Amino acid sequence: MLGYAGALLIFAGGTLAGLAASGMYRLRAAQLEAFCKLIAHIRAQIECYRAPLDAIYIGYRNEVLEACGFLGAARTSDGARALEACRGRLYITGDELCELEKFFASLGRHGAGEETSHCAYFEKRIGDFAAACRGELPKRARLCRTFGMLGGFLLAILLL
Amino acid sequence: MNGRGQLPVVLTDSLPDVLLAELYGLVDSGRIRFGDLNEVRLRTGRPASLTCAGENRVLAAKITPAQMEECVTRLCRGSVYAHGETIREGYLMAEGGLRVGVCGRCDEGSGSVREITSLNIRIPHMVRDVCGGVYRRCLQSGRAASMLIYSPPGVGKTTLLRDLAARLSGEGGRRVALIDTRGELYIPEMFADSLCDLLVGYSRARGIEIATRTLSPEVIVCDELGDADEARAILSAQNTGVPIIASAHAASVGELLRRPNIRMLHEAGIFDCYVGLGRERINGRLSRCFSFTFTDREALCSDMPVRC
Repeated sequence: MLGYAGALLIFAGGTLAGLAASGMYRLRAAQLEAFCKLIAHIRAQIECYRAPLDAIYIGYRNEVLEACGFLGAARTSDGARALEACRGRLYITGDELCELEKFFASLGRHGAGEETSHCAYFEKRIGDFAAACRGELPKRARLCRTFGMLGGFLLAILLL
Repeated sequence: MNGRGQLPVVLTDSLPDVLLAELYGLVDSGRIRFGDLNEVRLRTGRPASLTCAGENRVLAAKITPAQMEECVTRLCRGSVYAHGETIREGYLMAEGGLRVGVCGRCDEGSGSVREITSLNIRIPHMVRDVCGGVYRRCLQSGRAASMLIYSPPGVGKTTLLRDLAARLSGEGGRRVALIDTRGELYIPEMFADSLCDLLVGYSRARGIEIATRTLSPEVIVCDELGDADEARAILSAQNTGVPIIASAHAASVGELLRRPNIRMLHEAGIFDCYVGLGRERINGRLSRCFSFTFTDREALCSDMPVRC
């Protein structure tokens, strides 16, 4: 009896692990899209209003970037430091993080024309990453769920 | 207060560490007094320098291009582009009213500065109660008089104008329009509880025009009169009868009136009095006390062959 209960728990655990993994992948796509929107917003604010970065961060709202702590940190320091501070809560890959680091390291150091070009370049780069991630999401989510359930099932069988 | 603690926070946050360490060393050891520190100058690839009590002091710290870029970025609070217009004009206004002169490699076509290679960070000092003689002379007849304050550069015209504007709009109870084109005149603490309207960043000509049309000031104060547009704006303001207190670079009244735009204003009878500003050198240091030379317009008209 206990054995069956244990096997059921293991199977459930495996399934949940699979769901969590697919959730992390979904979050990665959401974070990339959120950064892409932020870069677009920054570009528009610089182009139209020459708004300073601290004012841009203070006035900007985005649930995903608030949840990972980026916006909160950016409002009191700058984008580069904020990215460093929330690194542990980001689900993006090393390459994607590297691109964001390059973006924020150089942001705000040049004239308006160069800044808008800089923003446009990285908006496309991060946008491409986000689109690729979003495109693969259904397949990846299915894979994660399947492997999770399969792994849980196999372990349950072994226990039994 | 420890001298080091008097350095503006925006300055200590922006300067390269190697320069800041040297500056702290000089202030802490008493080799320079904070009150004498007028400017901190950075030049890419060359030693930084200080201007203390009108004298140059070269430092050991050399500024690299990366340090210069970082300093400019911090002075602009991480948004250099937001200061593009003023940088094209040769300056930027940092936090706390710190005015920084900027120059470097300019793109002739667009007018934008491609590479900043020199910074002149001017340290504002809240100097009060230095305008006594000028203040009394200004209000001698009850109504504020129009005055032109002159001296060579670096003597303290801006310091005097600031104190005078604060006193006129505070204790004097006059509505003062302060045309602060480069953000050098206004220090918030000096104008608390005053009747001063502040026009920051406006050209002098436009600031005078807006002040006279919309603010009904009892006195207009502006710094560094120079060009024909400013002279025309003053002539136009004179139609409304608003007294103007301004400053100009000159070592003497004669030199002052040899400048065509100032001459034009003199002949139109704009200024009631010309105030020469001086400071003595004691043991090689500029004294903190100003001396004034008052020359009434009538005296000039009787002495000089000009049409009044």
